[in-house]
Amino acid sequence: MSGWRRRTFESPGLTQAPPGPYVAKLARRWSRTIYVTSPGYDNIGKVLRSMSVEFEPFKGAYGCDLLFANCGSGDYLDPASLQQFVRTGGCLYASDLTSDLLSRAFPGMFRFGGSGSAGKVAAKIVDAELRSVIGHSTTVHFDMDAWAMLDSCQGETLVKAAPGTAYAGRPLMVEVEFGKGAVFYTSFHNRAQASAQEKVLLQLLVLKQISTSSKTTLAKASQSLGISLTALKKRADG
Amino acid sequence: MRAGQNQGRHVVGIDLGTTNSVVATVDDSGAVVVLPNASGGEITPSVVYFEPDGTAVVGEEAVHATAIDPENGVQLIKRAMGTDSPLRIRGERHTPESVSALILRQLVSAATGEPAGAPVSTVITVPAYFGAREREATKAAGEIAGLDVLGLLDEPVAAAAHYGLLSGRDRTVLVYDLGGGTFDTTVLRISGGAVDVVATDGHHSLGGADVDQRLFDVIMERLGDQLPADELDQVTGDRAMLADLALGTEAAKKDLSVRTTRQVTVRTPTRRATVTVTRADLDTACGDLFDTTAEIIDRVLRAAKLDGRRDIDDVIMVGGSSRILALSPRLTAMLGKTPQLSDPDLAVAKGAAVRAHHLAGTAQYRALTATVARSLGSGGATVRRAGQVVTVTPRAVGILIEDSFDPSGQRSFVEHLVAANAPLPAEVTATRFGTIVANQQSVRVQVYEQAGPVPSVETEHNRRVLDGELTGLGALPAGSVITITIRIAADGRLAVIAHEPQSGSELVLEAYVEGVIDGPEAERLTRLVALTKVRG
Repeated sequence: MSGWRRRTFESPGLTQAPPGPYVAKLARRWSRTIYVTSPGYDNIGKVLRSMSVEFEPFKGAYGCDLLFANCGSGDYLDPASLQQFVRTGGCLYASDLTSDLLSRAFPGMFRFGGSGSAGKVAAKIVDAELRSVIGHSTTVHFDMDAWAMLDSCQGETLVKAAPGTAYAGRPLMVEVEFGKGAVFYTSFHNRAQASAQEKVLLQLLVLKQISTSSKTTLAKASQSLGISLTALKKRADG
Repeated sequence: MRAGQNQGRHVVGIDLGTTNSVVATVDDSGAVVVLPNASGGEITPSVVYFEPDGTAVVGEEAVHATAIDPENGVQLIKRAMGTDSPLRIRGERHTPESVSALILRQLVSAATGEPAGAPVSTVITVPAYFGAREREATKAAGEIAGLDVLGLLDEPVAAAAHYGLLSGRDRTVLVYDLGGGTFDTTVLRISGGAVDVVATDGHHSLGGADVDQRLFDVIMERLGDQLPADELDQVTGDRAMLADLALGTEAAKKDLSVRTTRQVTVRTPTRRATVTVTRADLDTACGDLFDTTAEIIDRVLRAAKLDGRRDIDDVIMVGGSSRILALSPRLTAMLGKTPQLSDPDLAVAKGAAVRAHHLAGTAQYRALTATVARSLGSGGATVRRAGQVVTVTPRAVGILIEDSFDPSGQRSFVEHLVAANAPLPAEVTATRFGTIVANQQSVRVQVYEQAGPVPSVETEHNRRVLDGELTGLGALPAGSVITITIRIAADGRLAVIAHEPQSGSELVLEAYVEGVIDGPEAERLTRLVALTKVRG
């Protein structure tokens, strides 16, 4: 009896060998364009570089698949253009003080309330894919006071503050689908995360975004970048 | 020991037809015999009716029950083989494979006299024009029914194998096989009792059922001339009346093979209406269908590079619908010789039985070759290869290629590696394909087969049969060669192997066949069929 299971495949296919003159143009069908705003209080570009993920600096246009918006960046992001970008299938990463921008670009999708203090916060991993690599709990490091605190959102909580903390139950990392795209938001900064487990969490977040953008699984996204989830898990476990 | 049994295992050939099915074997004396169904008949309608308690009734009783209660009956299921056509009947989820499995279970159980689960090895016949999906689905149906499927055999080949045994001569033969639901035409050479297919072609949805529908339309039109509109509406709106009329139509079609005129009577609540149909009516209504079969014959002769009048020794007609009288004169005019009607309902099952015993290497097969050799007085020379077949692939098979020579970067096409009518088994390896993106970790391999009457590179003229992914490629530049090997087995089943030569490692191609159930679904259906009570 046949043992195969019905699946869908999204890898690039085959072309002529040797390839024709338009192979680069063909390849663009399977590649992702990533723009990153200039560093401010945060620097997600550093995380991308640590993963060998290629990206270009944001120059005011939105012709990319993924856009990473650093907290406190000097680059101007237009709320209407941002909304259009996500609505048509783009994937946006934003952190901390981009909260005002998100509230204007995606009215009603994010509800912010108050602000938090600097320090370490014990967190629970809610998302099953993240949990399968990093485990059920972690610690996130808030390097600055007055970080934007999420009350709730019209989406999925990926990481939340653990019970017994000052922010118990508050979402710290969320994913909100909007139109054909999605927005990922973290209350904490990437550059502040010092421990191996915290760094792995950020890398996983990037993979999560890429997998969402590619409409594939976390495992597939990591495979496409040559990143081993098993190796990440070992690093997270210390 | 019951006929056809070999070391405790029954060996049978099964003609799993669109409208009717037949089981045959070779007995201990070497005679090819048809095994009776539950009613003692040779031919079993391929119809399943599900009773309220879930019992599956197969055969003549199912035909009548389905006519009255079509929601709980299934007919012509063979036309859905190889398609995603789930059926929900009496709360159970069925597929074409599971319904076919129920038919097979009942056929085998009645033929062998054994309960379900007894060891039975079989060859199941399929239309020559069946592609990879339909063949996989047919084999899956056999396995779900608990049968040991030794192989699949093309119906015209089976018929020719039977004909070759009877004639005992080396011939070039054209088989015209018009079954209940499909049409196949095949050119083959019979030599020493073995059959070598030269070319094959056909139509997936042209058969006796279409002839019935055309005649039914004629009858309805004439009924409309006799009945007031409200009474005609009563007929068309009454399931039982329509069912009676459908059965009457089929009977009329059969009768028109032996007489020129036939009356069909329809009872409405207030009157009896009688419609007269003639053989000429049938010929006129079905003329375009018969023309289509002639076009396909032309095509298969071109593919075989043969002249029909000069190179074909015999034309044999098989399949119940080949009895339609208008067909023989058409073929005579076309090919210059009178076709022979060769045991049209049973020849396919008998040929399959010979093939099954040949594959199983039974004592009955040895007895058969000895018996035939004696009867032909040839000392065994003419039948030394009885049961052996060399078939061809009915459709070209190839790989989907993203075109890096196209300036738009958007074009894809199918590059055929195995041509239509290539002798089977076939194996072709190509090294002219490569990766598109630098460092891509996996590559998608999509296998397509020709969907239209002639091979074409355009994707829309092909249909996908396998889809898979070769993983673990490592850091390779764009354009790195991926070696693709396509293997087609003797029974037309397809396998594809992809290999990355730089690493030298064999890489696993995970593949699935579209339109065919996957492993977990096959397991579910096997349980479902095993738990279903089946009777004839």
